[in-house]
Amino acid sequence: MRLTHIAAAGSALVFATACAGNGDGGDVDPGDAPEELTIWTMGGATEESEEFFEELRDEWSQDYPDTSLNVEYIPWDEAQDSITNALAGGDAPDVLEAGNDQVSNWAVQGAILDLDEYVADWDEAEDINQEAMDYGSYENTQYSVPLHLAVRTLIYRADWLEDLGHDAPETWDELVEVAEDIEDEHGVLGFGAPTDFTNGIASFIWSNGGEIATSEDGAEWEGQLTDPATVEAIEFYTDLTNDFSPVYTGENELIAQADLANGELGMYIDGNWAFDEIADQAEDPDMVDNLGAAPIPGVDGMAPAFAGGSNLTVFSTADDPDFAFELLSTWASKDMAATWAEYTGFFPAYPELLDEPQFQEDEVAQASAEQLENQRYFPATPNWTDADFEGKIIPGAVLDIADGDNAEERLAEANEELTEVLNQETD
Amino acid sequence: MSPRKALRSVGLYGAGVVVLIFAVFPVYWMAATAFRPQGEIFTREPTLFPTRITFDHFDRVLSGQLLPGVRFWDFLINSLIVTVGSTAMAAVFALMAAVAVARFKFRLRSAFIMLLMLIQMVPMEAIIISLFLNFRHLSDATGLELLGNLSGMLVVYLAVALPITIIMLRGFVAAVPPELEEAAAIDGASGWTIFWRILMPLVAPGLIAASIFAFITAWNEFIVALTFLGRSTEYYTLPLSLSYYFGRTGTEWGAIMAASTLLTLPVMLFFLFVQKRMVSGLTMGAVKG
Amino acid sequence: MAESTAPAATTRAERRPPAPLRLLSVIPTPYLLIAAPLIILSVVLLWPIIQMVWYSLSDYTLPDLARGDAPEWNNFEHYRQLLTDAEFWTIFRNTVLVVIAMVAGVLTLGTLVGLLLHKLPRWFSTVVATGMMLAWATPQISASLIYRWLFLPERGLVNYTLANFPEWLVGTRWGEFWTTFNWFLQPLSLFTILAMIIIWQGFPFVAVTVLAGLKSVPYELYEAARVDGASAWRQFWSITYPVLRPLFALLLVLQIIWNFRIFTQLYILAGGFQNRDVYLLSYYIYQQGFRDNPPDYGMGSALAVTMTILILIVSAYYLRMMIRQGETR
Repeated sequence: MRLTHIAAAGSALVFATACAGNGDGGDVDPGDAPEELTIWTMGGATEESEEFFEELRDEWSQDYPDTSLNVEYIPWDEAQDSITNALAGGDAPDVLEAGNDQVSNWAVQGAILDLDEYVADWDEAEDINQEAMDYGSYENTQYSVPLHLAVRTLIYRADWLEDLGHDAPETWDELVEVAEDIEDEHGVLGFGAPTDFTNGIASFIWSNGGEIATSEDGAEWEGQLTDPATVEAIEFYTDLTNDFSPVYTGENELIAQADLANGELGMYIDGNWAFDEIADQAEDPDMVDNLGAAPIPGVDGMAPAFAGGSNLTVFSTADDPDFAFELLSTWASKDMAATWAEYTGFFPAYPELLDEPQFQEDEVAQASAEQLENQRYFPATPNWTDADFEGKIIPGAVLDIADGDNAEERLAEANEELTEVLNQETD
Repeated sequence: MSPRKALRSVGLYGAGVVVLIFAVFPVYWMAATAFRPQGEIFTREPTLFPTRITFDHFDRVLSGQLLPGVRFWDFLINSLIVTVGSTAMAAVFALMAAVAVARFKFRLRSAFIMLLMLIQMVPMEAIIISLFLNFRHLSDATGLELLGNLSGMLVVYLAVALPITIIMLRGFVAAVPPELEEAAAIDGASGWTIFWRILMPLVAPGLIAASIFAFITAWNEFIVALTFLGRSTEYYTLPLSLSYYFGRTGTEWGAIMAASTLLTLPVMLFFLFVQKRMVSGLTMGAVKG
Repeated sequence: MAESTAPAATTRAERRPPAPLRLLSVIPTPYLLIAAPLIILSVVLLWPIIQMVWYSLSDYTLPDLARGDAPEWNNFEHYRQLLTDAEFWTIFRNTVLVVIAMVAGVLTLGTLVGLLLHKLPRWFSTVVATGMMLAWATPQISASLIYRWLFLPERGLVNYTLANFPEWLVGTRWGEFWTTFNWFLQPLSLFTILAMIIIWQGFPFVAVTVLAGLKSVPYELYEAARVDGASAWRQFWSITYPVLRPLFALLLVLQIIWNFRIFTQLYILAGGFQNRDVYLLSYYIYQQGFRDNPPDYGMGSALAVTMTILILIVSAYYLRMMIRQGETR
């Protein structure tokens, strides 16, 4: 992965000159620029992300030399609390990276600004994936701009699978078979199935023809956790937890990431951005060379994956929204977005960039590119954050089922809660 | 000694030993983890005793290697600022109020004492939301930043310390015989001389004990720090920093226990110091040490 | 209560009408002396208590705060919701049960240890008491982390010890079960550990208090009982308990108040809180006010008022005792 970045830096430069759209500044006068703008980006700092922000600073200072950029890293599991705290008057960013499924929630709460006018004036906006753009709006108002697409795949120990004579599993049966063989051969966990992992669990549900919740009009939602297909998928998932990774009961995918890094796990589901984090945690960072990626196994072939991704927003307490958007659009511009995606292992939200070699050549990138073809979104309602991040409805139920609760009964209870939360009033 | 008596005595000693182990073992385990080599900690086969003693974990916590940019010393200084600051201010204000309550008869006296007792009964955990909002609104109204730094916390700790300190000191002030002061006054001593030479020496033990309660309470305080500081890690106090280490490093139990040991030590020393008064202080004050 | 340990709070001097003093010459008026504490307490603690009641009767959420909107009267809506909210009642019931278990545990163990200390020779009693001080003095946050570490699945000492019981004693599935058993996921096992922490930190205080009380019981009473051939059990219930009854009452009240307030320990033990069944009332308040999406200050305050009333009812007894002792005069 690291090697590809050098190539990426090169290609980004090409873009920078080719697109030439940057630096036009538009309506804002650099003389009025504030002394500092704060960015909140999600996840942990890595060498690659640090490098990216250095480049962003360089780019930014060409037009706004007097404005320093303050970058803060917020771990994903602290995002909710941090933003809530910021809104309650704590430290707040100017530009905020937010999970694409949380944008509507923050819009409803008044945490982020309406960007309609800014986006209308911004030329590159039309080149962005329109589906992703829509998912970043709420009630026909654009509150965010897609920064990158993030799709999860199966990450596995390619060296072990090769020794065992296996290809990457494509179906559930193969997944179980490979996991068993890994356990027999290496005496480690075969497949990591943490229970606090809605993004991964959703793939199993969708693959089995199940749903999380459905809506006919986008307003009234109906939980589908009692759908037999959903129940069956969740039972299969909790069996995986109990058979291959019982210690992940109550945990999220980060523990699997750490175990994989240290040779204690054979396979788990995560995005290719995780490779850098794995390298950081491994005693021997070169172990990432032994990793492979493949589309998520489904009942009979590739499972749909959650169309994850991050969007950029302007925080409602920003003193200078004009400059905040200026920074946002610099970061989300075609050339910078390409660099960002390349450095962090995500995919740019500009469809035309996906054909660029750096997003195709690598075997790992290819798996993700393939998975990008088969994506699904979570219920597009501001209440999704409440149901999932705060309420942990699905993780809570999966946890209890892994712990021995009856799946049908527990999911009936969860479903009732889910329907109620998804339909609660927002103001 | 009859066999029966001997058996009884063995039983008593045995029970004493069991109690001792139950009480001390967790503290031992904290120290044992903090002082043992990394390889012996996060293992599937833990052993009761370290094979050797190491200061690595303390070193990593103190030098800030554990989490980049997070230094134990900064947390220690933050903790000292809020605890010493609030305790010292509480001592001064409480002494004045205790003199007023013990030596004067005035209209609002009973009401004031009732207020102290009532406020003491209301749990911090319950009022935490309105406490936070109160400081949010105060910040907005005054333009001072009272949240996200130590200032608001310090005021809260001061307020929490006041009732118990006043109530405790009142007894000490009242116990000083007024005759002593009158005698001194006849000898021509000024008010200040009487205060420093006669009142203070007799009240000092109470003042120290009450201050130590206040200190320990503030030193251990968690929920106010948690809600008031939010993400402002540079102002974290020690208890909050422990929770932060735990949340961010997860499995670094050697370092977490080392930090825990450092947090615990001063409290233990103070406890030995005020052992005798601890009971009376607690039963009077309903403040947990 | 303990004759030697109480400071001069209850001495005669206090009840005497305060004498006019020379001190007066430097301090103009008592009002000036109490001014600072009065202002601080009113602004910092009393006002929020009043506010809490008002918020609990209003619609007030984080977006309202962020927009600068004032709380809006909602005609007891939060309380009505609470009455019918199954989740609230589960948490309420759990809180009451857990508090009862903890109070019973602390008082029973503390009393037994107090009696034991009384029977032990002085030197050994001092050794045990000093050891207990360590448990007592450990800050809540440290104690919580120690127990979390002791009971960690796979690598914690307790699970390891349990898992390594000899197979002939416990069978083959036992070891596997305990290795991976996670105490922190389900209410019952989590509350067990929580109670253990509370008992561990709480019993020394009770033991030392009971010991001090025991020393004040006239020795002759026991002599007489022994002559009559009364058993130790009988002696406790016919002599010790009646004499120490006020002391036990006080300890009971204090323990209830303290244990209702438990927050830090639960915060550390339950980590990410995927299951609301592990909430206790004090955590629920925090969750509503700071973690909910969005934080609901109105509902959180309604919970807070509920908790405050519960505690005030319990402490009314304590307050009455203080008033009787003349503490408020």
